[in-house]
Amino acid sequence: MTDTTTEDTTGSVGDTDVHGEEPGSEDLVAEGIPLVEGTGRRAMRWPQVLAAGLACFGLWLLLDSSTLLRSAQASPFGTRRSVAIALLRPLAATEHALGLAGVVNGVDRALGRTGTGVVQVSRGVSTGHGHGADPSRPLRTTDSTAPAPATGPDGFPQLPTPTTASPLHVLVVGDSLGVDLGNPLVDDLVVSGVVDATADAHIDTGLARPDYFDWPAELRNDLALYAPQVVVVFMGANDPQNMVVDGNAVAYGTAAWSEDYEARVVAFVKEATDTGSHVIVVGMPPMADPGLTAKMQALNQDLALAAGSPGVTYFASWPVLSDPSGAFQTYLPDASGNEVEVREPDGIHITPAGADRLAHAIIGEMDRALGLHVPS
Amino acid sequence: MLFPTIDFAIFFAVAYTVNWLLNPYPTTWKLAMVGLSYLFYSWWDWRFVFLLAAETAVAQLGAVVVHRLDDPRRRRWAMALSVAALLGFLVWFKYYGFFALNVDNALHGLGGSRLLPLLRVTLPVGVSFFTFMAISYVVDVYRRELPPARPIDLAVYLSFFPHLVAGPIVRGQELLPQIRHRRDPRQVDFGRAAWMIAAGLFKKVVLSSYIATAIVDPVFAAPHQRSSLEVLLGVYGYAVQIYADFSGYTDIAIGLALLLGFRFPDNFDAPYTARSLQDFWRRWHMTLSRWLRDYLYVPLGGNRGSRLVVARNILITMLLGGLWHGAAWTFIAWGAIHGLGQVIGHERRQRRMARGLEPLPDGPGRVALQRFLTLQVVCLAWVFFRADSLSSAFAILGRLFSAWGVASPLVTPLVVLAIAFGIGVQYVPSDVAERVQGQFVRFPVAAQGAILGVVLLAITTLGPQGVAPFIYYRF
Repeated sequence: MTDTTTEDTTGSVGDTDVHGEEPGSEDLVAEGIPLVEGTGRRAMRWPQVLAAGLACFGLWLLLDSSTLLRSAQASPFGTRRSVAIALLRPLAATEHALGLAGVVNGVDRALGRTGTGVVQVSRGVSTGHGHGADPSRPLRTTDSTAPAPATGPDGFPQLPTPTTASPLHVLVVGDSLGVDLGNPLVDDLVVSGVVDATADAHIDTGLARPDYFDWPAELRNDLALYAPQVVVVFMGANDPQNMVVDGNAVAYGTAAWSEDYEARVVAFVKEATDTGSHVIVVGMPPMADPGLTAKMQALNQDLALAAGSPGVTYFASWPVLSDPSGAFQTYLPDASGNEVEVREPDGIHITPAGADRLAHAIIGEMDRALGLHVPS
Repeated sequence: MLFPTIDFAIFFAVAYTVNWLLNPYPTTWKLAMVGLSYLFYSWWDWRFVFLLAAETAVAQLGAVVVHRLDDPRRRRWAMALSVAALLGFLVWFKYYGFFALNVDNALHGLGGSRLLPLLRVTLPVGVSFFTFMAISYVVDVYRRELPPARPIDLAVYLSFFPHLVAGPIVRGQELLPQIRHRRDPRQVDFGRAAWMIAAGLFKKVVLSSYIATAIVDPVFAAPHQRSSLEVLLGVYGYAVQIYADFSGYTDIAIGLALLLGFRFPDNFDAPYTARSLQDFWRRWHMTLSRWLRDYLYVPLGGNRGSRLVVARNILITMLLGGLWHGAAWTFIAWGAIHGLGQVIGHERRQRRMARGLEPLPDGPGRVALQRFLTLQVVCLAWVFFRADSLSSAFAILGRLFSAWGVASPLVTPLVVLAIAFGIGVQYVPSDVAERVQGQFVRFPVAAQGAILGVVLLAITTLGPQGVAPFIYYRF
């Protein structure tokens, strides 16, 4: 063992002459590692770089302020949103006054963007199309010469047993949890050979912020495009937040919020039932965070109440994705009894194995509640 | 805090100014840099700042003890203990869940009862990267290639925010001397830094995001609903996506470090132009491959020994390299494909040498064929890397052959163009970029700012709103 100390050692590699506290020394780049190699590039002083960086950032803020303002307006209510809007509004006004907004808007139009601020990212697919569900195909129409279908106990038309010749049309809509569920459910349905299924799910969306994403309008579009006989709705995790109703802020957690939210769910599912579609509203599962779990419990009550109208069924995902006591579980047994991960590390989203488990349960519910007998 | 966000832009403006204002005062600068880096890391989860600090303390303690010991056996034990302790952090946070789940299922298959509790252990961002850097530091001290650093220097080295969450894996010998010496405030390499950041942003925000949403995600999420052509393009698309995503991150990290006066090693060198898997690993995630070479492959024996021993060493290295990326059988399969491919390549070269044959001449046709075949094997391996499970990977591969002649709405001219661009751009000579960088810095400062502002606008306008996390953040 030596008596060399850490300080001695570091000193031995020449620290002492470079650790002085005197400003303005002319230390050059670290030995053997020149900052600017012999490429002909001109090195710059750091304040010049700062000036160039600030100029770049300032110009970008000005040119992109309308888009940034839209994003800020669509962000969750709070101080951050207020400050961002206060800062961006004058910049956006300047951008408009200078006629610069047209450049970005032109590109957005060219790229087919709606300006809703919807983000579709790589954590699962946001839109899936089942067999024959090409969005470019002609709109589906109903056969006016067909006999009127029989009605169920709730007075809603009963669905015929699907066959290969006359497949059932299913649409799955939702938020990021809907993204997780959408494709496994569509996959399971289409492999039956008697279902034509489509998923339309968008992350960061819900019914609380129509200014950010207008789900009723999206659903109307989907209904016209796909004419589904069954619509599966799986959204709500983003909704525990303040809402604006008729221009007035409604605080989350109040009775008024619950009433207004329930009304939104009712109006949303009515879009589908008005066209003759059956709706299955899937409740939220428990979350790893106890606070969020409590919010999901409360939200499920609103969803369940809204699902009381004819043609609407509420299906609880809670028991499917929890232990027997109803508590959040990361691991649950699959069909063979092996434990599988059913929830993502964030404690919110559902893994493919979890989505598969939920998809099978929903298909079972279609069988039980709608008498569809979809082979699995 | 993700790089391509306004939050980070504000953070970096502050960090940049603090960096240069405190540059003449090394101790204060180091304390400030550790504070800023820990603040950056705490943006994800403040509790894991303690993990970073704990790994720093363990590495420093281990290095000092190893350095003080003379007896080779005791030095080796001290080094092994330190490395084991550092690996312990990684094993707990990254592999416990995987291990416990597989043990549980194996016991279930044998009719046994649960041995280990099934816990969800949250994976700290970047733990694989800074743990590997800490290990390399201790081993370098053990090998007497590096003296122990001052604790504050080590804290800066391990936590330095440009590399903290997804590399590059910078060696102590590369970064510690730069931390010890003051940077020259007149020598900021702005031309290269601006190019790297702009290129990285374009790759990540525009190219990677577009390909991911346009074809890769739909294909990998529901292969049964896709045609063979869509699946084929989805697989090639993922090759471009992961390259654009990870090399884009690295480009930004290298550019940010340059602005702060630091030089990081390159991490990518046109990997899809590789002529063999061995060549691929000289070009892909170069800082990881040299880490695996120096701290795993060489200690295992490297190229010394019989062909069987060398093959074993290659396979172990690549399997563990696969496991480093994630605790899943898919990553092990990915490592196995690369390992087997390299073993086969090594064996072929050895046999040729044993027969006294000269290497075959490099005609354009042979080079093109080698590049093509290497890319196909790399893409095959990416299927396992990207798939949720082995069964999903096989489903995707099966779909490659079973759905030709079906409509392929996802295959658009823009998708094909983006994929071709992502691969083709790797054949552009590097001096083209250098010429652009050289021209850029000759402009006045205001013009540079204006050019960059317009470039930034183009990137944010062409890219989607919002940014997905970098793929390598979860490794």
